[in-house]
Amino acid sequence: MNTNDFSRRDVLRLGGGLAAASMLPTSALARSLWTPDAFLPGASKTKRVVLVVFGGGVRSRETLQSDNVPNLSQLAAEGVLYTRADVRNNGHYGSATNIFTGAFESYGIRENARTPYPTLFEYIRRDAELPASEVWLSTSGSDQETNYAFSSDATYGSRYGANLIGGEGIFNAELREVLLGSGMSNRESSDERATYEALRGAIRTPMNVSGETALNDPEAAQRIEQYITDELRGGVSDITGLGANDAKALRVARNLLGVFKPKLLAVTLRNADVAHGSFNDYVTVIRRADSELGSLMTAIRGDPELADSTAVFVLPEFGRDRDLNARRGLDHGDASDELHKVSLVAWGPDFRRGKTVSRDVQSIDVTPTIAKMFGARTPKSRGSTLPQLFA
Amino acid sequence: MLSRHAHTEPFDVTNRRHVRALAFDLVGRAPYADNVELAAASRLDVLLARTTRTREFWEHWYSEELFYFLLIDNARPEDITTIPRRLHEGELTVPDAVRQVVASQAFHRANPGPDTFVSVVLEQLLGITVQRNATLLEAGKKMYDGHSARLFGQTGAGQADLVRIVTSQPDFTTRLVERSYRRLVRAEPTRDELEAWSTRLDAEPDTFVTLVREWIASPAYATRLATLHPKSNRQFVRGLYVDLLGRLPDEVAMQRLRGALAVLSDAAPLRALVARSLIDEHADSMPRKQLVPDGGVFIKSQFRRFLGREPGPEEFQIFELAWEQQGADPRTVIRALVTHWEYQHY
Repeated sequence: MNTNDFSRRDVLRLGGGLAAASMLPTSALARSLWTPDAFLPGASKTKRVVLVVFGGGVRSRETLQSDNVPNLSQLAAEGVLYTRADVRNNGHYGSATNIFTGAFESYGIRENARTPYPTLFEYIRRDAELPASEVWLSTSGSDQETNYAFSSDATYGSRYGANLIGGEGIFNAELREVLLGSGMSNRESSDERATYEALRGAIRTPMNVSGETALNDPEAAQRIEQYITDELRGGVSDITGLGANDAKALRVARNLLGVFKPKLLAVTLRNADVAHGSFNDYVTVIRRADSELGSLMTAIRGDPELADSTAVFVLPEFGRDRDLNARRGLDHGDASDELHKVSLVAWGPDFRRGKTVSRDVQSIDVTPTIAKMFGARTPKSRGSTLPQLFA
Repeated sequence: MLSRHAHTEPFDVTNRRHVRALAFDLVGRAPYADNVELAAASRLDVLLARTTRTREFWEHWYSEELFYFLLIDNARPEDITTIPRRLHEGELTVPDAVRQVVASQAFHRANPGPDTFVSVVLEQLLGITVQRNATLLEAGKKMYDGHSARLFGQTGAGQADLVRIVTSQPDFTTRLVERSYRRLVRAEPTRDELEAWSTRLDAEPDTFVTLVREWIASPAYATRLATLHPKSNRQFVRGLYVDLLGRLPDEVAMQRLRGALAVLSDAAPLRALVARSLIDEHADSMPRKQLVPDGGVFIKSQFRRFLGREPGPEEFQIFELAWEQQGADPRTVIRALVTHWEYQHY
């Protein structure tokens, strides 16, 4: 090729090709079986699923057996309520991980490592050939929670992981000041952007690389970068006060649902653990989270694309002790039914309405149930499909 | 983890990528320009001795250890900030530094209550899965609460006794050596190696630096150099500041950026945003295109500066053409390099 004839189009084409070769994850190269409007193969009216781990350790006594959670109660009344979902107290991180993997397994309390069991996100991304942009997880924001996104399982792992975002860590006034308050240009011409993308795409790494595969293809990464910028400029960063982390996680989930319309969106909460030191704060956190859950449901019910085609599951990772501790708070370690039996709500167009199931089920049944709706197999899950769910 | 010594690249002080790797591993940042020049005129043993004698080496070690215990940001200990200085001045050994971290108020605050505290101590210091050792956990909880109890054959009562007994176990040193080796060499030590190094550290607690130097000079580290490994978020941010601005970020910016990057499963979009923000903020200090006498020389220098290597022929051709014909300027070139996936590795 005569370099003098090398046109801008050539630069872009070459750059794009190299970018594809060096940056795209395997899953993104595969043609997705999905169209955004497709029904899930294991359901007749559901197109997407929202899973809320109403976590931090929450008893049924302060949620569905009280008047603290009108929005969750409404979901339960309109859907299926399992009153005895069995959980294990494997620590907050471990027990929430159990829900996502469909397997009861212990993890270190401060273990900052990935589970060896594949997660729900990996199961459905692999079998349904979904890109990462279709599977999201909004967390309340700790480093440890980032591990929920994917496992260390060699046959699944990072290339099938979820896009995870911890709202409290990103959307705060301080980071907004660091990133946007220092003169970052808001405007970028399309030519500038194209040249930059072409150059970046032309870089060809000559060495082997260890570690996790890139989760998002360049186009999706660009959309996420834009989403983060827009969200930083929005109101989420200004949410503060008791239970703010959980409120942000739910608000971010609501916004993600509006922007990306993902096929699966999970949310994890944790502020209720304030109960160790204060029962009153614990109740306040629960009420605030329920209010944000109500906003999420209002967004779902008000969006024609989501209203009659979205299923919602809500459960905590475990409950709390039966009796108050010496600080008039609630720990989680007494092995009582209040700790080990929680309420699980399932709401959606394919589910029964106003049904209460009092037989024992398990928190690890959620993953095989949702995976079945996606037509995905869960070979390493130990759970079963939830009974008496589908209409 | 890599298979043992499949491909190796013996450390070359004139190889900029090797020098970058060493700086990221030992002091958690990219090398400054004068670090690169000094390295090229040095030998590995001299370079290692010089780097591991710095206060910065110990500050990096301390930061990594706090991260292991998840004592970061607001949970960082305030009562033992002198640890890096005392390590640097030889007043404290590495095992004792870890003991002080575990005994700190911050560690207690981060792990409240007997169940959490005892679980974390047993898990993180000795590698014990407490769910499979209920008896140990119960004895530890009893001791934590101030009651007399026996743990590993020793009697104690109270949290200080608990920490003392746990950190006097042989596995305490073994796990410390193991995680330090993994962190630096990105490989698993053999059982014999682990035992030999732990025995040495037990006998002479101030030999930690000697072990680090031996690990870096070993064939295992040469194997590590043959493969790119992901930068941690801390390494990425500190490296980006040094590469772009020739200085480290202040503590507040570091904390905020690291904290934000840590809560994404794919940090690449936010890393790109951070890089763009920094480039835009300091656009005035970027060289102006019209003042760059030779675009090709500039492009090659930026590949070396940010990726530690020369551009390949095809890469160079595209960059040079974009520079000459498509309006690419220094800012575009730098932004493309530091937002690329390769820059996220070292």
